[in-house]
Amino acid sequence: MSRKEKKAKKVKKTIVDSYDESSRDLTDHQAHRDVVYALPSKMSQTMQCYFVQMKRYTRQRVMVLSSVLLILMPVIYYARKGIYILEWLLPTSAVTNIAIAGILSFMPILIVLLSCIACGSILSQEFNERTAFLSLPLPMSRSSFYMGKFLAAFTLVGGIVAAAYGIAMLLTMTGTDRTYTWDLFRSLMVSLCFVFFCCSTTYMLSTKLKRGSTMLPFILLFIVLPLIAEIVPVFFKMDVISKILGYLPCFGADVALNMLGYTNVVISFNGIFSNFVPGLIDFSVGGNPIIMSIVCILSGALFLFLGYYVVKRRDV
Amino acid sequence: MTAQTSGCPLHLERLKSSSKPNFSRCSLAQAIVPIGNDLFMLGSKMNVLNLMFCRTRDIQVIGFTPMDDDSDIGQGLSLDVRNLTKRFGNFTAVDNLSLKVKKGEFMGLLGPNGAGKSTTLKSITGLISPTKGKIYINGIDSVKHRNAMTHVGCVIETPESYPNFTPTEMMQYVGRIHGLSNKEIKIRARDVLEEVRMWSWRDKNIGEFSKGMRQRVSLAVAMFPNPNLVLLDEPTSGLDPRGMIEIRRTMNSLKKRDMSLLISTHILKEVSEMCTSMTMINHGKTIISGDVNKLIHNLAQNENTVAIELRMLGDLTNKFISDINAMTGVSNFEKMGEGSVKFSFNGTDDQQADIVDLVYAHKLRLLCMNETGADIESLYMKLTDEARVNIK
Repeated sequence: MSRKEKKAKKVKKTIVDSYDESSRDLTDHQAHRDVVYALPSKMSQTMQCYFVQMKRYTRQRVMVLSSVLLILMPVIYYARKGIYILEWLLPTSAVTNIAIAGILSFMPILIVLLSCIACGSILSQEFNERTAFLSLPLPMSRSSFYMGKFLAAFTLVGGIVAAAYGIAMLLTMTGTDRTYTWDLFRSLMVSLCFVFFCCSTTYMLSTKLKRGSTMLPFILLFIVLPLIAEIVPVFFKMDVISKILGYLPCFGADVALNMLGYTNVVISFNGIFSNFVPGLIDFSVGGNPIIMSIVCILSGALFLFLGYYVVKRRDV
Repeated sequence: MTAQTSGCPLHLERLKSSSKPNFSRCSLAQAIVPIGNDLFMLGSKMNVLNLMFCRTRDIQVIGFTPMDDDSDIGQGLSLDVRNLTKRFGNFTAVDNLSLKVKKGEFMGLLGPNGAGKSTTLKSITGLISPTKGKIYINGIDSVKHRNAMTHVGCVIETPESYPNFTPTEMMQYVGRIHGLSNKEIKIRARDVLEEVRMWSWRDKNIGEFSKGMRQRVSLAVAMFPNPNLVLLDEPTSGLDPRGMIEIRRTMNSLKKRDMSLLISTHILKEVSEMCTSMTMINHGKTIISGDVNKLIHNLAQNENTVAIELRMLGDLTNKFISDINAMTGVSNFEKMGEGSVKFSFNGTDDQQADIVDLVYAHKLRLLCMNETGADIESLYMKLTDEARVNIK
């Protein structure tokens, strides 16, 4: 039997309805049906929604994709020697921080992509698959439901980013000066703030879009917003505007890598754009990681609140 | 166990000693506190701070009931909907609708498509927010307090469980939201899954189940918190006849547990079989409400004409046919087959009894006398026709 036939057989396997089971054999008292429990706190209910969403992620493709990406990191790192394009995309150095940044140079696109996959249709899926009709009438507030799901998505993407940093650190144990500074930790913090921004923006969009979308938030976060930031300084030739736009939260990952000493990030919109139109635009992303972190958190919180406002008022 | 407070008896349920009351969402509360061997009710105007103060003393609060300012709410009622209105833009889906479901009552919510049944049920469960009106579940305002849904089970618009979860995992999710311990969840999960005959499928993915099985899992989820009010919106829609019968059987078992039920359905047989009362709505307004049998009886009295079918053993002679045709109130006589006749009858109960006497006078043996015309279907048709005429 071919693999295709086996797969088709597996898909066809549907359990046939059966009524042969015996009915209940416990009395109401034995089944504790007359016991009344007090509802848990709002935080506890939020955590329950969080765990349920995490459990759902473990059975979805996003988890497989993330694991593959993490496994690929060392493979690409060791395989790149001698391959020009990979050496250009993932530059190496004897300085540990720069070497780590080189390994993580895919991060700007990956964070946006993973956030979009994890959050893009998380809420709309609940309504389309009609699972919300089961969860929302339960005695918990919509805020618990909303925040529980968001926290799960944020943990997933944040966890992958943290794991990527960990793997990069392990990979630089050899061939570098092994000088690990606080900049590495600060870079991780900025990256997590950027993850928060990406997740909350995508999550907010998923509350508005009926069918959810992975592509739309990706285009918005990776292309539209950075493009605006790159083009506007051409019309307003003022350094201040250029500097302010450099702190748009969509450049969070660039800032995180800049902190590690990798100033010319290739795989980000800024890097790609400056390669296509070199010298035309003198635009650089913000340099202060604290300001960037604050901007990411505040804008993320704003989008998160907007999303909650939509969900709270939504008639299912 | 019953406690007496201000002349108002209150049923006290068995409370788990480990459970902690959640005061966060109620401003006014009735508290049940054990002092010595007795149980006492504290005043209904007690606020959260007072309750917290009680807890710091030797008095331990073991339960509470959030209350609203309206003192007449929830007396003997599981559900009290008052002047509910829901507008979607310019369209009014529910218009000033009032509904009362007593404790232990099974009520059917009937109406044609677009009448506002689902909107009413969604408003009650908080899936949509009402434009106007109040909804009290067991005396608690469900719009203001989400914990009003603690003792409510519902199946609204064929909900789906997470397809990559098993029934046991769904029970765990619902149980933890209700604050049950793991041990308790295991006991109750087994109980409700056995009740809906899904216990043997407890570890299979719900995504692999048939529609009927998924619906039974939804019903198990609804029954998991041991609700005293169950809300069902077309629970048998899309099921095969066997699935329908199974779901109905499960719903009938709720009667034994003194639960209240509000069921919205298009299947009139379900209402006549299960419900004690019914409310019929059209264009978001109540057309009629009351006891099912009384409403049908009233219809029969108003309509007068019913169709009667007789099945007898023996030869139907021409004399018998002419005699029965000559009886007062009999019209449209029709011979259906061997030993079977059908006719319209418009007369009193005595005259109807005379027909039976006539059968025996002709030495025929009566097998069956079926009276149709005054049933829930004719009531439904009459009321919807009237509503249609009124609109025209």
